[in-house]
Amino acid sequence: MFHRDRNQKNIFVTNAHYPISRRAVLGAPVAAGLGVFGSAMLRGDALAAQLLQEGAAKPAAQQVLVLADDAATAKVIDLFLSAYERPVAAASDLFSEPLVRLNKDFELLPAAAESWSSSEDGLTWTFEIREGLAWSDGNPVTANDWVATFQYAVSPEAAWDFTWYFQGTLKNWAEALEGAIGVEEIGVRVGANDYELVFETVAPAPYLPAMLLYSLPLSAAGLAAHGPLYNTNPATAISSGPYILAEWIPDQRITYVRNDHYAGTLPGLVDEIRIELTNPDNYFTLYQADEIDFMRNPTPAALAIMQRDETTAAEIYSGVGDFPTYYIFFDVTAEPWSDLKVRQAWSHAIDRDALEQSILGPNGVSAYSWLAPGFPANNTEGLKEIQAFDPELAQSLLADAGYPNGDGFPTQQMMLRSPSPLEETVAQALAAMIKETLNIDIEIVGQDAQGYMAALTAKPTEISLGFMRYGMDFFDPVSMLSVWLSGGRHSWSNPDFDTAVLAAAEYLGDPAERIELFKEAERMLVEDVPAVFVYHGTEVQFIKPWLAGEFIEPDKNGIAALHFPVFTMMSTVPGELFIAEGAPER
Amino acid sequence: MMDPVELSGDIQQPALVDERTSPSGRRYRTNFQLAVDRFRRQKLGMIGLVIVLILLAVAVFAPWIAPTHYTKADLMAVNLFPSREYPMGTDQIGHNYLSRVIYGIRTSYMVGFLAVILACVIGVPLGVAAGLRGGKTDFFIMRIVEIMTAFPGLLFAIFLLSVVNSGVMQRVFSNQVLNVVFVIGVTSWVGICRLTRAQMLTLREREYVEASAAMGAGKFHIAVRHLMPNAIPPLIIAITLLMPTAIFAEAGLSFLGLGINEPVPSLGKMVADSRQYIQLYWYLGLFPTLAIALTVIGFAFLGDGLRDALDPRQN
Amino acid sequence: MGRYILGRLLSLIFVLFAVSLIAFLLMHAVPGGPFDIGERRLPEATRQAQLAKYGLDKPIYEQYVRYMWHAIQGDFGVPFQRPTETVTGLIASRWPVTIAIGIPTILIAYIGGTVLGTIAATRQNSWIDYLVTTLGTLGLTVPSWVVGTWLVLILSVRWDLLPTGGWGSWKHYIMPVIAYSLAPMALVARYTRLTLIETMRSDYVRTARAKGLGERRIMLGHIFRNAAIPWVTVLLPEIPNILTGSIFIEAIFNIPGLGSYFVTSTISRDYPMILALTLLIATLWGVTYLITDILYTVLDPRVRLVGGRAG
Repeated sequence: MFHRDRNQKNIFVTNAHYPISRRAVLGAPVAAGLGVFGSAMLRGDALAAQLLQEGAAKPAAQQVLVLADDAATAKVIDLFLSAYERPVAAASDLFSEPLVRLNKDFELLPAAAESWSSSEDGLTWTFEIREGLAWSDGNPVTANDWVATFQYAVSPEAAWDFTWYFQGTLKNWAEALEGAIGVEEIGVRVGANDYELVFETVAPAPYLPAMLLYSLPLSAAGLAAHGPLYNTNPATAISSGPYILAEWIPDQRITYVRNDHYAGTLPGLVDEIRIELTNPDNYFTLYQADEIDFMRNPTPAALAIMQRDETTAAEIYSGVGDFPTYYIFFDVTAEPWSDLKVRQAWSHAIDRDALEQSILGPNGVSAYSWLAPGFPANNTEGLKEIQAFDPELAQSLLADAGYPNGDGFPTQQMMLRSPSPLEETVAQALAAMIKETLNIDIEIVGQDAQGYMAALTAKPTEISLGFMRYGMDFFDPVSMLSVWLSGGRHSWSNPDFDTAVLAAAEYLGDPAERIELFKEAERMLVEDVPAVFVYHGTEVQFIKPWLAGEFIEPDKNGIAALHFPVFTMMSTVPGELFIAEGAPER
Repeated sequence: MMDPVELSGDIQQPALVDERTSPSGRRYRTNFQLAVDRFRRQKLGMIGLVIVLILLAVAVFAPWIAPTHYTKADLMAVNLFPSREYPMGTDQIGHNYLSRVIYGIRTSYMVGFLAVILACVIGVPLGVAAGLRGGKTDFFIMRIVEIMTAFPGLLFAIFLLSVVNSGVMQRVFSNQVLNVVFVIGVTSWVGICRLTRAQMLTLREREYVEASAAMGAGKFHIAVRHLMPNAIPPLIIAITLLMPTAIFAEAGLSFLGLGINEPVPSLGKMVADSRQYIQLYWYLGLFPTLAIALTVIGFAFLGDGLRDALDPRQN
Repeated sequence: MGRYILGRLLSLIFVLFAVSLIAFLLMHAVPGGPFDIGERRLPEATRQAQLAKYGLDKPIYEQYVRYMWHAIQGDFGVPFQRPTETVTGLIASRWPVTIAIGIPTILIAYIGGTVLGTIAATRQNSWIDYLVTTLGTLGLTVPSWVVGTWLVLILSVRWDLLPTGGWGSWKHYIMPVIAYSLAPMALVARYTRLTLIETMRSDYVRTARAKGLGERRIMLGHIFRNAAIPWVTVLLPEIPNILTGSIFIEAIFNIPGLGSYFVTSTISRDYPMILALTLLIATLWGVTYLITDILYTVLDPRVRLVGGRAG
């Protein structure tokens, strides 16, 4: 997933005694200590409902939403130009409608597509595009826009950094990337008329609609007239979404204003969105000074400061984010990790509950498996024992592997990818636990994302031990499990697992049976310990009291927070958030 | 020196370049005892010496002084304010911060000393060669110096560290502390080289050197017997100034996440990491900053004291 | 004189070439490229396409020659981080911001530092001397980003007097200039004090005193004039440092200057930007040293301009 923290390097503190355990929130009965959430949940929703009923009535407050994003990654805006180098920390993807979007319960809703259907064999998918959608330059939104977008994305000229996403799913995608065939032969084409978009897949792909969350089209006319960068300049910007670019001062500010030509189903409630471009280290200062309305993934120190005061504690929220799992991984092709016993020893040496209590607080819950609670096919209870904390077992396994009391075990370097302060703190605690239980010395090495990913995905991999995260891209188990397929991100390779994951992914039968297939695949992964699963991140957010609306009401699991993927057309948030009384003048 | 990360290696060298302050050779020898006496009379210089010696002792004897090893963490005792049990508190994963500071001093001094030694090992011979041989050698060395000066020190350090820490090189440069030492040393020899060369240039014009040369002494002989002893006092002072610079350089690299890796503590990294705690856990920033401040003050006083002591006009 | 300057300029050009070559080789030796950012391994075809897009598919020497050929003609390419701008355009728009912070910083640091240093030197071993010495050491010890963080917390968060950062009005200057000028001011003060004391002890000042000249005349005519020489040679070269910006100050106060690009360019492997910044700094250094050396001769007639720098 591309919503990750970058460039945060310092280490910060956390509060040891955060009153709310994440589980209490996930479990249905909301018990004691929920005061913090409770008060926030009830706030503003009545007003929101009223507003929506009255329709035209605007709230008294000035509808300007101010957010912060990382100046260093604000290179382009559109997903189909770059998935990783654009501002996505706060608001993004507001210039066109994806085919589908997610509500707060992660249900797939029609967006630009009114409906979709697949052929019997699950290989051909037809999306009916809503008629009447229009670009701000007057052109109608048609299937041609998607076709042009996908053809541009696969072209060598684009050299898109997200091509892996459709690799293995869309027909002829890989071949077109390699230049073996023309871009017009990929499995994305106009159907019977201009409002019918057809996708063809390599294998049956029941997950395709979910995957097409990332389907925000570029304007075919804009691409042709101004080239792919048209949306980086207000003069050439074209939008079919509720907002359009008004100003972009690099390293300072991006401003989106209302697009009056918007004809879709999710008009935004705010009139203007300002994104302050800055260094992520400054988000919290901006938040404290009321210069921004929302931030997420605070440093442990910032969280502790907010928790100390009752008023600010009410502004702390904890959501599910992109259901990330943080894990220690091994290069299983080399010593000493090629020995399963060593890997098992490590997996039993990590006291996740102590970590959750003392360090994570609202940032996460203990993980023993890959798929997080709330994510489809999650099986925490069924898999919990495989990697459970058991120091005696860990020590005896290590001794069996030939390293009694860690003797002779080489000092390890545990590599982190541009770690956030929290990740760095957790890594230190993990190193201390391994040292304590297994008497193995670990150095923690942070590396920038570029160097890290180059080393990790090199064949053979150059990272023998690391700690990192992965979060979903779309709400289907295959999005998470496919990371572990052979030849992917890690060096672990298990043909049985590959077969199991692909079989489940392509299963066209009963969805409940499909979930069971994924569970079996996940068990293989957890049992073979290519990784020690440490915690599932539960994204911490700070939300100013004047951000009101339905977005803050709890979802079906009782979680109140801004939901993935936050303020974008891929979620329903833009239609659920407005500025209430009490906001500073802007 | 303006930024902690300024690594371009041009040591600020008050008046050392100025020949008027350089003691003459003969007087230096006969005046050695006088210099020691003069230094003893320097109140600040003595204070500086004492501070430096104490910190040095802490660095050397860290394993015996520190209450716990620096990796020892207690997750049940995180973020505790200073108390009797933890005089400097505990950090976010329950390290006894006193131990971290003590070992941090050890790491920072190791980086400082070794980097300075490396800078001297590169800078002094090049400076002697340039100053003594002149001509093409001088021209060649001075161009290298010029290139090194012109190269942005921070960029150079970042590049070098990334290269040294990666791939094949990782096997050659397996010790992370030495890597930082290497990078700081390689980026800071220029000042030492310039200084040595300047000393050589001014000293070799002196009468006694000319006299030795007239008596048929070889260049090497002259360099070892007459020039080096005279060039050493200003070098010592330069080194006392380079030490804190090297410690700062490591701090700056740490700020960028490129310094010494966890769990090994270093003062610079501790200060860098404490930035966000300022509002809450002030002690995390205070103690390492104090240790760095003491180091800088100690070496500054020591340097000033040495200057005055080695200046023969100070009788 | 003219010939000397010409020689030095030629030497500078040589240095610039050498610096560009070293920078080029080093940055290509750093693992990872501008494209290794995704969460997963990119398809090989995409990797190749990206290399081609950035011109990195050619042999190293060809890339270098091509780059330098364009650079000589004033075309430094397009920064990888900012595909909508050119390197020259980016520097032209960001550098003035850095300079706008740098000039008040230099003025405050050098004027303030000189005044403090002179006071301390003329009242040696008095309480004011100790105060200046202590503050000077503190200024050098406490990193600018610690000062900056405190300023923001007190002036912006607590008292709400100034914006936390950003760029546009006079209010945005205050905190960065204070935080930025403290360390150089401390250095200048410390250094001024040292050189003045040094000069006051020197033989010719003693001679002047012996001749019965007034203290004021000695101070102005002898001491300042002579103290200016090391002052110029040591402190002037600090100016390019300030003029190219501080990463820390710009990061903390969110100033859209050049400083932050030194780090972001390295992290994002923005090769064209790295090279341009390196050359910019190298040129500044070269020119500053040249000016320093010329000033040196003006101040000290005993020095003739031959060969390289004396020290």
